[in-house]
This record gives sequence, structure tokens and C-alpha cells, in this order.
Amino acid sequence: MKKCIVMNIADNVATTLQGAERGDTFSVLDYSMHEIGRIESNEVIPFAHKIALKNITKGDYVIKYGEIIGIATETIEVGSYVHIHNLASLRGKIKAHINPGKDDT
Amino acid sequence: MKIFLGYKRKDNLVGIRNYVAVLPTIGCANEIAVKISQSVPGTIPLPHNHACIRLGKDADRARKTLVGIGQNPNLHSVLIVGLGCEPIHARVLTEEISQVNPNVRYVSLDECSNYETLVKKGSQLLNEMLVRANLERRVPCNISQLIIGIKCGGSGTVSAISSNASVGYAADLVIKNGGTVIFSETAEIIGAEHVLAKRACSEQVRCALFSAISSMEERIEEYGIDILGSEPTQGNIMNGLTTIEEKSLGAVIKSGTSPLQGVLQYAQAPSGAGLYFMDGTTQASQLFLGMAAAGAQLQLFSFGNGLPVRFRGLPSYPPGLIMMPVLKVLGSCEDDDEKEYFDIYAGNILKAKESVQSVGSALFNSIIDTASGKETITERRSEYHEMLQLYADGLLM
Repeated sequence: MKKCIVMNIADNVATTLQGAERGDTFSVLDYSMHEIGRIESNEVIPFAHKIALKNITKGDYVIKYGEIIGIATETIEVGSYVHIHNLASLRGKIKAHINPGKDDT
Repeated sequence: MKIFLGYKRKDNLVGIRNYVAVLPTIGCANEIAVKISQSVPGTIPLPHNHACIRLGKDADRARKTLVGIGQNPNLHSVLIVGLGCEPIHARVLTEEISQVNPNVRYVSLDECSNYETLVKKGSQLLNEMLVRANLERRVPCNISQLIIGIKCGGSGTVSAISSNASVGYAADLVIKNGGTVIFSETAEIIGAEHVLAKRACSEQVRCALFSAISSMEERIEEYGIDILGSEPTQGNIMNGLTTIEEKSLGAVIKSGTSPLQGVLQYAQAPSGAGLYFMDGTTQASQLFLGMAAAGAQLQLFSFGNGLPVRFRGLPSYPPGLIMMPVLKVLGSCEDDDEKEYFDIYAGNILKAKESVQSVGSALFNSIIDTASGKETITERRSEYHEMLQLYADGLLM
């Protein structure tokens, strides 16, 4: 079985320790490398990239290390690939870009 | 108490290497400095990119950097090579360096009749320095006399789990033994400053940290562009990182868990032992120079995953400072062919075959061995060195 690691119990994403195909099952490990659950991959996810552990609604915070690492720019289903196509930074940008929780209209 | 074997210098400073260096006052003197160094085998030239076109803050920082490099205890002695028309005359630079290292002399073109006389006079002084340096012997020294710089590169999501975690564990051990650790890379604290601030030893340090980060972020915002692709870099993104917040939260793990004792300016020496943050760049050669100018004798370099760990054609990547050994830590578990190009392999942590504690302890032992004279992989294998890069963040004329 493939493995992924979650850095903090509060996180809604985990980091893959092997690349996965759609339908692969991951053993979800905590930071001490103990299994805390399992999750099925919805799509191809490369090694060292991230998988959603929960459904994340567009505009919600993405949490890793128990901290905010950005906001979801679209709704992300559990088991989906989380990367720069659906996750954006809240920092170091021109202020106008920071608009958490609002639609891009 | 762990000890190592180092070279005692004036004022209780300790070198872990015993170089005789030739330091130009300005980039225009690089060629002469290299020529003089080449005339005395066993000495090292330290060419750099300082130029008269730096202004104000950048010019001051260049001066502090050159003085700091000349005072680094890994240098037994230093020959300053000047021209006479540069912002800091060789005589003045020599006087400033001599306040810490008495083994400093200079030659300057304006005080010699011509180029050949300058080279000849420089070679003679350098020869005398080398003879004296070769009489030095290593003696037992305490880890409290070590200043270690740490940096991460080729960062990916695995860095936080393996290499940065091991470097952080080793950094804690250095500090528990009375030593000093400096980390930097201001842009890569953005998004993690509130986590780091909890470890500030005083309100003053906490404020200094927030001030350094917010001033960097304000400068980014003034540019009015998305930093994605630069922070994180395209390589970082290929390695799984997404946002500066994610990168920073993983990057600060390399600083361990010790209390933060202070915030330093670039090239500023720490005032005591423990953990310090240096407000500076993420650019490796510029940052290494700032660390060396602050008195660091050794550098730890934590690598993640992806292409950068396979730059084996450049084992000195990123350009190491010849005067300051670098211990390289490999975080990836997918690049086992590259293990021999690194001093420490942390990839087994990802395979649950080794713990952060065991790899971090091995790194700490490597620090002691390297400080005692054991060559690093880069020292052993690299014949490639780039010129020193002085940090500038303002207008260049």
C-alpha cells in the first residue's frame, strides 16, 4: 500500500511518500510514521505532493503543520490532488489579490 | 562535554580551518589578488563582486562584510590587496580587520611604483604569512566556540520531514552544548513568523523578527507581482511545494526548537550563544558570505528532493565558500544514487528506516569531526569555486 504523511492532526492535506494512480489506497501516517487511517486517491498524485484528507470548499483554508498554507481556489474533494491549480497563497502579493472566501467575479 | 580540535585565535576565537587568504578591497583588484595567491601555493584567493557603484546601505554592508570575512577565525592570516581609488582603502580595511585578527597586512597599487612591484611585495608578505600559519597546531576546543550557519535548498515537501528535521535536531544539540546557530532567508519566514515568534526570548526579539519579515513582505507588495515561481521557485513547485506559507513552515523546521536569542543584520556577528536569525537573502552564495562575515566557521546545507540533488557535476553547488566548510544533507529517498555526494543521508527517515534523532545525531557527530579537520564531501571533491557575492538590495549605479 502507498503511504502519505500528515504533519499535524489538524491538517486537511497529507504529503505522499509515493506517487499514486487514481484508485490507489494510501495508508495515512502521522509524523511518527504510525498509521492513523486510510484514504483513496481520486487522481494521479506525484511523489511528495499533497492529497486532500477532507472535502475543502472553495475559499476555505488549506491546513498543513496545523497552520494556514493558503486558500482553496476551487472546491477540492477528499482524495484529490492539492497543488498550485487549486491552492493559492495569502501572502507576499499585491493586496488586491487577497480576497479569501469570495468568488472571483 | 563534547570537544573538538580547532585553531585558537586571539580573543578566544577558534578556527576550524587554517587558511592564508588574499582578499581584494574591490572587484577591480580581483585579478591582482588571484595572481598573488597563485604565486604562493597553499594560499587561497577570495575574489568578490564589490564595486564602487554600490550606494549607502549596500556600501556599508559591503564594508562590514569584507571586515567580517577578514576577521573570520578560519583564516589564520589575510593579505588585503587594494588599488587606492576604491571606497575603502586597503590600509583602512586592514586596520579594521586587525582589531580582531592581528595577522593582516596589505599592499596597494597607489603605494607601489607599478603592477610588478605590487605583486612581488604581496607575494613576499604572503609567503611569510604561510610559514607562520603552518606552525599552528589544533588544540582541544569547546563547542561553545562554534558558530554554525544553516540554510536549505532544493526544497520540497520532504525537506521538513527528513533533511530540515535532522538539521534542526543537530542545531538543538549544538545549542545544548553551548554553541551558536544562525539561520536566515527572510522571504522564507513569510507565513511562519507567528510560529517562530513564540520562541523569541524577549518582546524586543519578537518585534525585531516581525519587523524584518513585514519589511520584506512590504517590498514584495511594492513590486505588485505574484511571487509564485520565485517563492516557491519552479523547482520547489515540482518538488510538491505550493505556497510561500507551506515553504516557510517547512523551512523553519531546520532551526530546531531552541529559543530565538536575537535578530541580526546581514554579516552581523551574534552577541552570545544560542539561536539567531539573520535578516538576509535566500541566495546561497550571498547568504553563505553573510554567515561567514558574522563569524560562522561551518555551514549546514539541507537539501530536499527533485533535480537540485542531482547537480553532481557541481558538487560545490551552491557555490561554497572555500574558507567555510559546508556539510550537505540529502532529504530525498528517491535519489539514492546521489548519496555519495552528500555528507549525511536523511532519506531513510521517509522510509521509516531511521529516525530524525538518529540522523540528527549523526549530523552532530559530523559537525564535531568536520570542526576537528575532517574534510567534507565538497572540500574533498570540488575544484570549482565561484567568486564571493556581496549582498545588495538597493540601487546599483
